[in-house]
Amino acid sequence: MAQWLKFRKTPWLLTSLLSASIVLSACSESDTSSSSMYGGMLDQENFTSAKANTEIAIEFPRDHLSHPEFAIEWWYLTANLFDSQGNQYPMQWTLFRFSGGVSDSNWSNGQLYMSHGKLSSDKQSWFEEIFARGGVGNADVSLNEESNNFEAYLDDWHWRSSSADLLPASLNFNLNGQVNIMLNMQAKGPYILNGQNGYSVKLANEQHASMYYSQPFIAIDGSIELLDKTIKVSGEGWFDHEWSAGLSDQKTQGWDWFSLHLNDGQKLMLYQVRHSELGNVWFGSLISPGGDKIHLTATDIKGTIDSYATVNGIQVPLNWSLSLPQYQIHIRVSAFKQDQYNHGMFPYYEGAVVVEGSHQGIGFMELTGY
Amino acid sequence: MTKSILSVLWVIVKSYNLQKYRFFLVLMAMIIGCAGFSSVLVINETAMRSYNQPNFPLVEDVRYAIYPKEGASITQADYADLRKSGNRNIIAVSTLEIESKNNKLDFVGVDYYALMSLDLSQQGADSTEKEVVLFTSSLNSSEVDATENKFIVDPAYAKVLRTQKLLTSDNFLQLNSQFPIGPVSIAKATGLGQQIVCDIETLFNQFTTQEISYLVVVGKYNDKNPVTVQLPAHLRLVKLTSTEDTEQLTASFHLNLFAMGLLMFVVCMFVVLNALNLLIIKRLPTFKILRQLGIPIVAIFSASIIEMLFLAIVCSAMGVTLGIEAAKLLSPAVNQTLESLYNVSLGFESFSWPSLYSRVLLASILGLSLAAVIPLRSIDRHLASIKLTPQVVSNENRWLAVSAILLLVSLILYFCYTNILSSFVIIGLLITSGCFMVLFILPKLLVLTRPFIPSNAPSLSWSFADAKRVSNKSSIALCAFFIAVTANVGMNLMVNSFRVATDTWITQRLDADAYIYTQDADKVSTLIKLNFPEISIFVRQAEKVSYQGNDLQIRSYPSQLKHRQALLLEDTLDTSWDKFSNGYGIFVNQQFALSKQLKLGQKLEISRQDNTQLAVQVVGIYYDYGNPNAQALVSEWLIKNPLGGRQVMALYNQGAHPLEWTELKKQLGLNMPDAQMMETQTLLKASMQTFDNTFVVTQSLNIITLLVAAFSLASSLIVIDFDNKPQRALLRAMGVPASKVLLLTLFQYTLLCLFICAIAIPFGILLSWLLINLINVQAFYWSYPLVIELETIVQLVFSSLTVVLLAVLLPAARAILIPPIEDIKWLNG
Repeated sequence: MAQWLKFRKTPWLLTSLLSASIVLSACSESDTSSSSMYGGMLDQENFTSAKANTEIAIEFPRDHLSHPEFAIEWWYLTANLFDSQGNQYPMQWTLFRFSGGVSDSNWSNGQLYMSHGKLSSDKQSWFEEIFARGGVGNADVSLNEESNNFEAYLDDWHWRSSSADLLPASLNFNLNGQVNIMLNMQAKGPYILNGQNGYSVKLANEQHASMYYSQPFIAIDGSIELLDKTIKVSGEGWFDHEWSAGLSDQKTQGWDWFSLHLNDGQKLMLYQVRHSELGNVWFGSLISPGGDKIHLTATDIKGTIDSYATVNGIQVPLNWSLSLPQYQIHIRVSAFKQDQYNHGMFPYYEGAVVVEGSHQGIGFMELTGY
Repeated sequence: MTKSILSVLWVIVKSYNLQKYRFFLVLMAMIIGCAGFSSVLVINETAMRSYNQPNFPLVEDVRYAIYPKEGASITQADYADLRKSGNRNIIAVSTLEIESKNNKLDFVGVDYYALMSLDLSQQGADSTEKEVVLFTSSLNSSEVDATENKFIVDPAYAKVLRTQKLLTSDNFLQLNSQFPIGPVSIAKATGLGQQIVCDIETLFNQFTTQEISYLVVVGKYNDKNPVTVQLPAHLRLVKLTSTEDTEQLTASFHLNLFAMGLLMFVVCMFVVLNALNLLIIKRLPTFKILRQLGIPIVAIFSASIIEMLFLAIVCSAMGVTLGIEAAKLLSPAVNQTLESLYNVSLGFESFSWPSLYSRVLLASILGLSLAAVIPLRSIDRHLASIKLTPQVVSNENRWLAVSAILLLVSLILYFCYTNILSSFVIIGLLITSGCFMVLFILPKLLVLTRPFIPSNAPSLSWSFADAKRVSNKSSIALCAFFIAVTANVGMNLMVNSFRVATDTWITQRLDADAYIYTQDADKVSTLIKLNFPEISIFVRQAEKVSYQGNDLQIRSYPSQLKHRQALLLEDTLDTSWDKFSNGYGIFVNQQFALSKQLKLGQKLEISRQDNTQLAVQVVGIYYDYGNPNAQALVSEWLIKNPLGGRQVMALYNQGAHPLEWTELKKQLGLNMPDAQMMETQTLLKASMQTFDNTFVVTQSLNIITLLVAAFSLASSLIVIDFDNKPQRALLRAMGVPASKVLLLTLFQYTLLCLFICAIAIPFGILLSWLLINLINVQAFYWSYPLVIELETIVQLVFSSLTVVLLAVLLPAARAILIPPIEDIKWLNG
């Protein structure tokens, strides 16, 4: 009778995903230490994963696709969209991939996918997160078998390109059965390899790093269907694609990440990793309107928190002063509206910001671990 | 006064030592009464809760599922395509039955990732966070670290698995493999029954199964808010059986349980009354002495009431505990029913003990108060009398008068009030009237039949004569037995009549050889006409209309002779079919007729969806059991807007030889995969199977009621054993062997029970008639002819007698098996 039983290793990320879901529902609001970066989902490095290194050369369109040998990967689009009256509708679409560490499952290919979608207006927010396993057929980042065009999807949330390249493309997704988002995206500038040719260090001791590139020059137009109306929108988008063995360790407290479109055409990406032993360290990229990138390190960036706000009982820094003295940039970054928390299984703050000071602009801010 | 009450209480407590046997019987009677009542309540509530419970583990609102058609299967690609098309409320499920250590284990693998993706805000929840809570709450409440658990099991089921040695102490499943699998999270979760739930990937990897069994569709869907998913040709959407299809049957089932609960309560009250009466009779001399010592009668009354309250508190607690255990013992039968009806199994541990206890205690106090009226009155009466030996007064004519008055009141109620409450009161009055009738008729029957005993059988003749004395002493217990038999006869005849009516109706109504359900009747017709010319087809069409603001479905019905014969009519006009064929007449179902009080010949104005009116005359009322909705039949040409969706096609084999339906089924599967064909015999079998499963619990409850009544008789026998000693001593002294005395005792009880059965049968038939024609009509707007099958009645009488004889055998044997000298000693004493 024993032959009908087979024994396999439990995918570690399945349990960690479930674990995180339990942490989320079990922990009280004051118990924030257990929900560090993305609610704890990045706390543990998978040592069976390939690791980012300086020898890896990012190539397009190949590297738009999935890198299943790496433990963690995401395709991350944020956009500041506006209607004809100038009302802003910040939008987020993210597809996460995690390697489950299992290659011989009868149900999946061992890859786990999670997608976050969000749309805000000045009065409302819609957020939804969905999950799927790779290999089943409802989640993948690949070239379409028939057209050979790039596509990334989880269920009916679908990024479809018209070529093997990432852009031009359309993005369609539905939130809470109430909002249909249909966007067309065009690249207006080159891809930017962050860090050193895409090798992006995440901790001061350089123990953790990722392969990381951005497309900050995306022109977007499309429509948003609400229950009672359809709104034509257009605006600017910022896309990040990042893959690694792990971005943090157990002592990483979280990060603060900014992607800013300055009015003079420059793009600015900054992130601060908060670590209980190594301290807080800033990294970033300053991108010219033509696509030339300057790699920024801690010595170039000065960031301070101007004020905190309480969102759903959690203290989050929503007003910042950021300076790049060497480049005459002294800006104040504040949230477009206070409550832009993503209340999912892995909670974090992701929202549109307004830039003032030496430069005007718009953009997005992501705050994790609060 | 307090001192006097305490003194009486002290005497009562001291008397327990002298009357410990009788006191023990009172306790037992009350405990068993409470246990019986509790078990009925538990079963009743569990059943009620089950059809309000979600029928799928971990998620609520699963009313539809997608299954593969015959010969097909659901692939991962099908599942992925459906989800990619926007159906994020569709979840893959794989089920597996494993036999281990002679037990069947049901594993349910659910796609946890799809479950986590559920947006419950669309399903009516307040926020998306609820989905997280819903899913993870089951894991959170786990006794062990939930993160490492592969399987989830309900705590009640975990206990069962442990008993079967299938679940180890460290929460691993020990199946037929040498390696345990797990760990298992033992947790309460929505819809979790007797299954072992896990992630679908766990199921696929742990076992050799590689199949998606079905896809559940999550959402508050119903006929008004239908599922709109576009399915590939080889898949079909199925409405799960736990919903409206069984609603009416379920309501009938629940009413049945409720009535059984009430009857059980009444029987239990009689048991307590019997026990109390026997106890107080024994105490009367003591109370008389107390009175002579100057203790006021009020103190005796108060002390007796305090004693009863105390007994109620203690016995209710013990009874509830036993009742829950009894319900668990019955759980296989109950679960079988619930599983077949709702695909759910419940653990009885989920029942709230305090809530049950408070209800049973209240019922016990109420029952004790009512039951104590007669014994307390006897205290009053006997304490006032001078003679120590109470005078025997014949009450027989008074019993007849009370019985007649109660019957009269129930008749008046029957003609004056027509609501469900009055119907139950009528039934209560009828049964009580029957009890008084028993008290009146039983002695008369014994006297009337005595001449038939042969004169050359003196011991038998003595036994017969002594039966009257026994019946007087056991009158209350005999009344309890009467109620139990009446209830049994009434319930069984009702269920049997319902079964016969349903069987007749469904067999007559399904006059075709097979039926096809399809969305494209034209295509199916073409296919059949081309390949099976010997089959004639009739398409049943339907239209949604309204009458007096209420929804009504009108369906087309053919008027050829064979179809006329197939329609089982309750009542009809002479020219009904002519008017029907001409479009002037309409047949309405019984539910519609009774709810709207429609009469034959009445003109109806039916409103159609295009705002036109259909003027027709009611020409007949047809039986339509199990249909929860108002429905009417019209000629085919009157149907204006056939319902979208599935249509029913009736197929008739016109050929000379029996047709091979499997060939047609095969061709339909190839060419018209959406069409579902069912042969009439299969349909009939499935329908009657559902019916039988529904009433399994009723049978169990009937047996419990009978057992309680039998206990009552057995306890009477034990208590009156003291009074039997003179007679028995005499018989033993005359050399009658113990075995013969035992047989004579059993003969007495057989005789008494046979007479009770003879009285109970007409009352049972009347009860059944009332249940069918009053309760059913009030509750469901339908009735059916009462079918009195002699075989059923004989079976009931035989089983009742068997139960009683088995119950009294032990105390009777115990009394007989004592050495003859013990009885003979009594003569000297």
